[in-house]
Amino acid sequence: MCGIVGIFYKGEGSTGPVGQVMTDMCDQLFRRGPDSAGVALYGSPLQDGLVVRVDLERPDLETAADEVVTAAGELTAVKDWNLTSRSLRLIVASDDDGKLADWIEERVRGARVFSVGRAMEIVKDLGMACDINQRYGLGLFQGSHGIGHTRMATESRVDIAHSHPFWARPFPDIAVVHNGQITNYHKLRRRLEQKGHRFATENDSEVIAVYIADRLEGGESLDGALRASVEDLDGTFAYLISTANGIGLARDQFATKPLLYAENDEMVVLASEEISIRAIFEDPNLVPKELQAKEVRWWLK
Amino acid sequence: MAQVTSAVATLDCAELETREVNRTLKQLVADGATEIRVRNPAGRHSLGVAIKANVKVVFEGPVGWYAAGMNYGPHVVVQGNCGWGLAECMMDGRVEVLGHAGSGTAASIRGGLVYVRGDTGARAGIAMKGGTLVVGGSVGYMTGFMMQKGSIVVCGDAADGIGDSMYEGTIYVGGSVASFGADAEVAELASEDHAFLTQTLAQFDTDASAFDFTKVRSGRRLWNFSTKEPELWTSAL
Repeated sequence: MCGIVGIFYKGEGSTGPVGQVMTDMCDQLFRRGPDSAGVALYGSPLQDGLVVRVDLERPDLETAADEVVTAAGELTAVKDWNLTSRSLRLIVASDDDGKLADWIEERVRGARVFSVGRAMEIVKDLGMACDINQRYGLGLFQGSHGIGHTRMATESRVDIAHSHPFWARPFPDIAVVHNGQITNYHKLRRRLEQKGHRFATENDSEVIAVYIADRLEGGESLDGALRASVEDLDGTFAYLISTANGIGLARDQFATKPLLYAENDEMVVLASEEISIRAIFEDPNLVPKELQAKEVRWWLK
Repeated sequence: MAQVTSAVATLDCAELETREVNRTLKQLVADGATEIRVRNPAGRHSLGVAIKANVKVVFEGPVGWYAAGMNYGPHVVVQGNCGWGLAECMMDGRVEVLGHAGSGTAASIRGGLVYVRGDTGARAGIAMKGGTLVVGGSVGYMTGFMMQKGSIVVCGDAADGIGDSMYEGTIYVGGSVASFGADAEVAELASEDHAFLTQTLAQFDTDASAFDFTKVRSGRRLWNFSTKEPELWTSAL
């Protein structure tokens, strides 16, 4: 059992307080997942460069941050960086061959690259989402869309790296949050590894992100990739996938995991349970409805 | 918090824990309330459960999972949506939801009536052992799965696998059926079916004659294992 949430502000250029909204919605679902929480937030896309979020599992955070900045600087220009708690945020010039994450992790002990993208930033940690909001200063984050997760671990260990959202490494700006279990995980992972993809964790949910990103990379539409996933993924799932342009979702053939969507003229709100929507939004026109088995939906800018 | 004015009481959930809400509901019933209006339910879980009394409980907003479960007698109205497991294991009584409902609506009810004005998620009426479920909208995957008794009336459409592995009972679908479940079969409507539909839907200001109902019932071929029908068992399992 886990909780998943998402928000998408409709219309070109429309934004909202995604950091606060996602963590507030996650907190309403803490009973579904008290182990850890996390968000993938989409701010204003950088016209030139990429934003990188690196988790530092080190007591000497400042030194570790310097090491990451130095390592990244060997591959690309580092334009700016700042450290909040153990999350290092870098602005780099480019990552044309998608090697930056591996490059940093191979060179700096305790560094894990959580996200790379023009707009996307992944922040996750153990405990409640409200604490994570405070710790990493997410309350002021304005953005176009975002997804969030509260985790009750079933398939892999309880630590920050195995928390959601998962970045579809090395594809920029793609992340997933998932409620359920992917039972053909090893088969799918092997197939994707044979195509050259590398996985950062042992978590089954990570395979969804890479699976979708791989299809998008191959030229398939988000709709096509989501529909294919319903056939190819075995097990139980309700998941949200976020890209630079929006959010998609899919539900398994037995409708085993809950997922609701509510929509008005300004936004689309997604959550495992209505309590998460009602606690944040007062608009009576936001009427949540449960998705059907095998249903896929997406909203893009 | 709670206030009894003549026989009508009001209860505000905003500052109460779920257990306090349910305890207060029971206390209000014991104090003689015949109608209780519950404010700010805000989609919270397990509200209005295990009430054994002839009382009307009105939730002025959406409720969460397992609302009005294990009840025996009360008339519960939800002025909004509800989550999974509505009226689960209800023995008798009446539950009306004016919005949509999640999965497992009216799971294992033994009696009474559950009405959802909107749509339901997957497996509505799963393992029903009596009573009636009426859905004004459409129903999700495997509605009536393993039902054993009672009736399900769907005014809208049914998703895949309706009536899968049902033992007994009857399902009526006013719209389209995406596909039938294992061992579910279509039967002719008899005059008593029409009378039941007319009488049941009239309670919700719905004209049964406006629909061309499909009657779904058990083919009873899964009641006993037969080596002569391996395909049936392979497809059912």
